Amino acid sequence: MKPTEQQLTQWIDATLSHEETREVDDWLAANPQEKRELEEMRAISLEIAKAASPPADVPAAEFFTHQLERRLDELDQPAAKVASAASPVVVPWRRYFVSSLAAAAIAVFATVITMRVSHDSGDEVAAVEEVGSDLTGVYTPQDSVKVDAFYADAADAQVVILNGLPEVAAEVRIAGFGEATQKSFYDVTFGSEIERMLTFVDGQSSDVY
Amino acid sequence: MHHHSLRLTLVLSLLVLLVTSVIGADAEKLESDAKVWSGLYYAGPEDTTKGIEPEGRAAKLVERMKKVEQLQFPTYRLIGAVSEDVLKEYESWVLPSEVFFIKLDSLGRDDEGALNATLNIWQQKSVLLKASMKLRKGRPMFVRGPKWGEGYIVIALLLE
Repeated sequence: MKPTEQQLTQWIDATLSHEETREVDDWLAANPQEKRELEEMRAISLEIAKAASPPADVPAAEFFTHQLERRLDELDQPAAKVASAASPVVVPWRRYFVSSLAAAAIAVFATVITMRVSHDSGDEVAAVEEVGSDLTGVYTPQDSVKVDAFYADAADAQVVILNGLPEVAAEVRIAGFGEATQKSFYDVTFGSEIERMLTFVDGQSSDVY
Repeated sequence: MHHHSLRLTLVLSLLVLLVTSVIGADAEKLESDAKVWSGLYYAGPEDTTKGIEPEGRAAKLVERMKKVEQLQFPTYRLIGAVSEDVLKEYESWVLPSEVFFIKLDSLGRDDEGALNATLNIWQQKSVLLKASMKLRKGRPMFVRGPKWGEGYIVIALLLE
């Protein structure tokens, strides 16, 4: 008996049950012309599926955001360098424009991923790693970083070791806040910002914003 | 002369902005889920150019860190330390330094008083780590970050 259109489509997609596949194969064996056509269609379908497949492991949407921000920073940098020679104030228009575009792209991306994962597992976006009871769903955006997280009995503490991070040069000065310095974030950040603005008003600065 | 009046206007504008934001924040009376202490340390060979000798709570935490094999360094120096309220339904930033800092999104307290939160550790503009965590009273979290010179950056988090 000739298979239905629905069955032939499913045969191309290889989604028929074992029993139905055998029945269609039997029919195709007796109909070589149709067999050739269907096999060609299956081959094309496989190629399309391969080309359109999303990456196997899609981390949380924040990873995408992070990569996008890094790329935006890279794009802004040369423009800022060129502009600084000509003018003391440069409006990063591209950032605002591209950010809006990026926000829309991220929203679509996140929706698609959430729908895909929900469809696949009926669950929320999967965590990259599951570790220790007090720390779950750990992920790092940098591929080179390996996380070792565990509960240390002797110290009664949760410990996270981040291996593979880029080294901070010895001469880099890291300004701290609070108990160690008696300075707050506002002192350091806004203090220097006000100073920089005042210098700018006095016409001595060529800082680029 | 023109510059001086411009400076004065600028400073006054900033002061007004600061005062109104403080009054605004007070009026909203944001509800705090917890208070979290965070310390940023240099851990490695002796280097007195970095930070200060830890004292009090910061020093007691060092004693506990040294019980963990991966955190056994000869010297710990405190670079910065702050206590911040972790606000209900808001993201809260804990800023022990200008380079390394922490963002906590509170998911509330559980029956035992532990804070459930989403933890983000940042190095300037980059996220180093994101995780769902439970921070229990008396059980700190220690994070060994990147190498810094001969030593390492270590961050401690403690639920107050």
